[in-house]
Amino acid sequence: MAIIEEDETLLAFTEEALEHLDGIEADLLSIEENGADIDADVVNKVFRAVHSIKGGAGFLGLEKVKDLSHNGENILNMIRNEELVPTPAIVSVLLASTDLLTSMISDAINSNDVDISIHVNNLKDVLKNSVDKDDKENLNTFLHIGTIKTPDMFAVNKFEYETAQRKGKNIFLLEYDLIADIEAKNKTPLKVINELQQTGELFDSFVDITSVGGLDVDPPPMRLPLFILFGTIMEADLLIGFLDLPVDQISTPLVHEQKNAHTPTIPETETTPTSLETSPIEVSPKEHIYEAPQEVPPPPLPTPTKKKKTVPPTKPFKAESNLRVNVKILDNLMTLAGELVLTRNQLVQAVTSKNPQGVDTVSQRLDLVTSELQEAIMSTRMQPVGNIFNKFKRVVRDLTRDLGKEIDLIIQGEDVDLDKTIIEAIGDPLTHLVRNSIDHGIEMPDDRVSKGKNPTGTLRLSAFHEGGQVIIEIADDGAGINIDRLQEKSLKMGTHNAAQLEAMSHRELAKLIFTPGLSTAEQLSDISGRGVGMDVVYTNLSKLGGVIDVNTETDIGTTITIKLPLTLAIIPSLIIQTQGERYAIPQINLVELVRVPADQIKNRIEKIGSALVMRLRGELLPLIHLADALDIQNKTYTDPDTGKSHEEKRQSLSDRRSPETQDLNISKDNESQRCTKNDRRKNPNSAYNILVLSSGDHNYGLIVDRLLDSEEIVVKPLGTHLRGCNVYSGATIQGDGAVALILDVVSLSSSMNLATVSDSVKAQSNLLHDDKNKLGDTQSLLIVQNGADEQMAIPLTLISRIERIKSSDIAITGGRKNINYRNSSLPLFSIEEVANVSYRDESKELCYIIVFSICDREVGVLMSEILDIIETSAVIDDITYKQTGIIGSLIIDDQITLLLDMYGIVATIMPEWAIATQELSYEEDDQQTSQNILIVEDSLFFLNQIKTFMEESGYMPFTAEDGLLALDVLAEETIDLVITDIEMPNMDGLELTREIRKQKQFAHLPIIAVTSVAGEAAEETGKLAGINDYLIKLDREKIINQVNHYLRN
Amino acid sequence: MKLSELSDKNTRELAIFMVGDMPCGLDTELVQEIIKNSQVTVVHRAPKYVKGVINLRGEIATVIDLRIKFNIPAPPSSQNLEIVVVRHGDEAIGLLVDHVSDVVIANTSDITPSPANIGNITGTFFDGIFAMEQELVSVLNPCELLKDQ
Repeated sequence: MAIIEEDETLLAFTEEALEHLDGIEADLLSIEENGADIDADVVNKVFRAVHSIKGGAGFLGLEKVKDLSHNGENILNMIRNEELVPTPAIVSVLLASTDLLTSMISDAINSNDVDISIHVNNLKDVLKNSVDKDDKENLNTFLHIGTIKTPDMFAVNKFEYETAQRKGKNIFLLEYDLIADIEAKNKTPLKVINELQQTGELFDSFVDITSVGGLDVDPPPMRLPLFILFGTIMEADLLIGFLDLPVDQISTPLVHEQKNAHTPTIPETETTPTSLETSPIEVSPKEHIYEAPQEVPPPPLPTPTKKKKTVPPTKPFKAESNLRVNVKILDNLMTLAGELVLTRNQLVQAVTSKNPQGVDTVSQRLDLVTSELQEAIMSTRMQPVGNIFNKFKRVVRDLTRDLGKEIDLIIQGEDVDLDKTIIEAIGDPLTHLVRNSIDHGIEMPDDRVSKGKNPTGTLRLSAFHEGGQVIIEIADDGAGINIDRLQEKSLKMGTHNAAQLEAMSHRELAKLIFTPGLSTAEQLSDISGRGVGMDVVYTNLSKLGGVIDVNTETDIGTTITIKLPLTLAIIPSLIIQTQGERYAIPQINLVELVRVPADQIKNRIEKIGSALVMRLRGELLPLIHLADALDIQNKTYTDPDTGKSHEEKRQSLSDRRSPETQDLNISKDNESQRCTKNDRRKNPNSAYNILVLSSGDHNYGLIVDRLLDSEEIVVKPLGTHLRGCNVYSGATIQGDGAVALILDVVSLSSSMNLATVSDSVKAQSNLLHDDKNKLGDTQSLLIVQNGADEQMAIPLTLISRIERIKSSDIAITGGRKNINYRNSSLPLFSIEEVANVSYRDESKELCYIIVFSICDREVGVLMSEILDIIETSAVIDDITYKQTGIIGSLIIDDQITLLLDMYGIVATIMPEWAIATQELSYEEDDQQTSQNILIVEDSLFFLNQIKTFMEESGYMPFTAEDGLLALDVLAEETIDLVITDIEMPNMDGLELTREIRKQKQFAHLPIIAVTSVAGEAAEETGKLAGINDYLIKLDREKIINQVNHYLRN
Repeated sequence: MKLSELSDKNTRELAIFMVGDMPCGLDTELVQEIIKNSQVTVVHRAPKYVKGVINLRGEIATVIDLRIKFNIPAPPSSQNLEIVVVRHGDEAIGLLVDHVSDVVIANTSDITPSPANIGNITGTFFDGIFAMEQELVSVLNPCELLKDQ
């Protein structure tokens, strides 16, 4: 009998049912895991959940839902009674059924049209295979139960009926009147059903609509009977007291048997929801087996008519539009709302009494209340990421079974909260990534064994907070992504050319899997092909403001890292201005801000082809002007002196200074002359403000006129007419009420084709790098100035930090300069104390200290200016300017730059500190015969440096200029330790290490790599090759310490 | 007597406004509000007829320049324009007009179907022509006018 109650009841049912189902999956998985060792609590929980779904569905006329849950319930009942062992096959059937149930209940109104026969049969088969013969017969037998008037009210499986009776249950037919017994008592039918289910077994329920009749019947019907077939261990008299139901409405049902019958079919017309007006009209007198059928209905009572109006439930509803909120949070919100009202009253008072101080206080309070309110409201939207993660247990289980793999799923950080909208949106991309890892990442158990790995693979899903963002990692210990294959495919598809691929780093190459249409899978499986759909994953996550990164290592595994914002509704962003208009840029896309002073624009910004690029720490960064990107017509510039706007005359910003521009080449002599004029480019306001933005796979620079403020903005959607302009991701309202558009950093880049520019630029800059590599390694140097016009450099890696201090804070104690710093005294040194260089201008108000550590002590070297950080591969001349405190010199930007010897400066002034370390090493040496150290280094400068370190420490150094030569030396001499550079001609350090490790006698030879630029990734590859330690060139102390350490052990 | 009492099935209440020199009418029930001197934020790379966006009490409303929609030369920039806000689906859309002049009751019988084009403007933008005492008012068809192109 199909009745769809008004939406509210149905909604309550679906909500509850979906909640039950949500938990069932995890519980079923744990039941499977426990196998024969049944955890009664879990099984009971699932049973009860299914049972209550059955009850509710039966009442609401959701026949198919009832049928399916009923069959599932039977199996669960047997598991509960330990008559059935939950094998994976059985659990699979149950899981499949719950899936179907979920989808049916989500669309409850159409659920009666769903074909459930396969699932029902599967469930029945499970039952049949596990019951004995007699019962098997009973399974196909239906008992027809009802009243005299309606004998076919229920059809109950004989097996179930008898099972209940065998357990001492009495079976009753309860007759509730929906109007008098339920509505009049302020109950709901679902509530009654739930109550009953807690005390016994509900077989079925039936609402007798036919007894109601139509509206045109006189007298109007006032009974809507709900019949419930109920099994309980209670005796009749006890039940009467319990149920709050008139005695005459509890009866023992009439039972007659019908063999091999199907479930009584319900007339088709009634399976679809029909309004009462059209249902068969027949005034049926109250019918009861204990009563005379002739009884006349009692006089009409004023009954609520609302109940009888069955609204045709045509409008679809969504259960997920509801959100459960903790009452505590609601209370908190209420309190805050009260606060807000109070604050408003205060504000009104302060304004009317014209009390400026009061306004100040109130505005502060308002600030506090609103931010608390904001936080509280946000927390209602937050959901733990575990909601999604736990769904993967099932995905992993099903996939591993299908594929014959063995995989352990580790879930970490389920408690990390994310905005509801993000949680909903990342489900699909994550599923895709997880499936990918299982299908292509983790190998078959046999393959794993042959690779020497544990046959069971591991898939780790983790979430954690980092810097106001949530990071989600999907890590497998599988085969890794085949980079060579990716490159091949990419070439074949023409997405990249050979030069571009050559220029890409390992990580960037791995990211090629996100290229549309690219897949390395040899055969596409139905589960996934790495590449098929990966581009969709990428775009979907990018849309959320997520940043995705891949780290892969052959046969070690693949880790995919996704950075997500906490919420999308309110985002921290930077407000900028261009052409007098304000725009917001999400902080999440912002890498750094670079200000290029007007007089440096010429040197740092140039044109490659038609693209504008900037040099940033040796890398070339593609640049765009926001005004160009937005096609702003009639550009103006603001005169920095007068503040007036003028029409911008130049065509593009590179025009005036690009060295390629002819006019400039001709007038080069005039350059200095022009600059002396009060030219606007000399004004500090005409410097370039460049935002370095990350658009996922590459960075680019955006030139804007002004940087205004960093603000938390509320994102508002743009109207339909603006849907085509994807350079905006929305708009926000500023404090002054004006609208500022939010720039979409990714679309902005793609609309200007910056990705291709970025690739070609990269190829170019790699060429530059290649040139540099021929000369030697690149070094990161801090360029500083001490005396006027004397440029100096310090290797960046040696520096702990840089502090800016007031010159007046420098104290002189015991003839030595020092400064009080973090409750201790930091000794200060100056380069002019040891070397013959120009003096620092001590009258300047501010100066800088370069802090580094020596012999476990922190010391500072004073400098007057910090100029830049550069990466250079310029050759170091260690003869011309060499003196105490200065290792050598190099040319940077056409200027002679002195490379400082930080160790030397301190050692000269405080020799006892340095001796302390040296003696230490000598002491150890006394006990050993002089040990041989092989130094492999192609740059003569560094070779000599390290050689000196070693000699000073009492070791016997051997040298080689590249890997090949080093192997020769190794073959001839007894070497106790190798110090090698990484970047070398002929054979590099990694290659050399691998070669050394191949020879058995050198398996334990300590190998220390020295490099100018350390990076975690590089270190990792180094360690994999067999390098024991990774150190920084010129870090004298560490090198000596580590050499001592390795030789001692 | 109130205007609303006068209006029944046979009449339509029209807000009359000028777009350039052309009087236009729009059913008042479609008009949410009329705002003046609102600060319009220009949206670059938007369709030409989109003047920009405004802050409508926390909602971002797109402003459509009817002059551009109707190919009427742009007005002098100093002129104070008015924005007629209409609801279209879920969003508010502002129609930029020169000035709103009147609200009149029009007998449906006085509104004649619009010709294929009025001047050089596509006729589909209009519901019909309403003859007022002095002039002819083009009654706008908001569905066609506000359609996303």
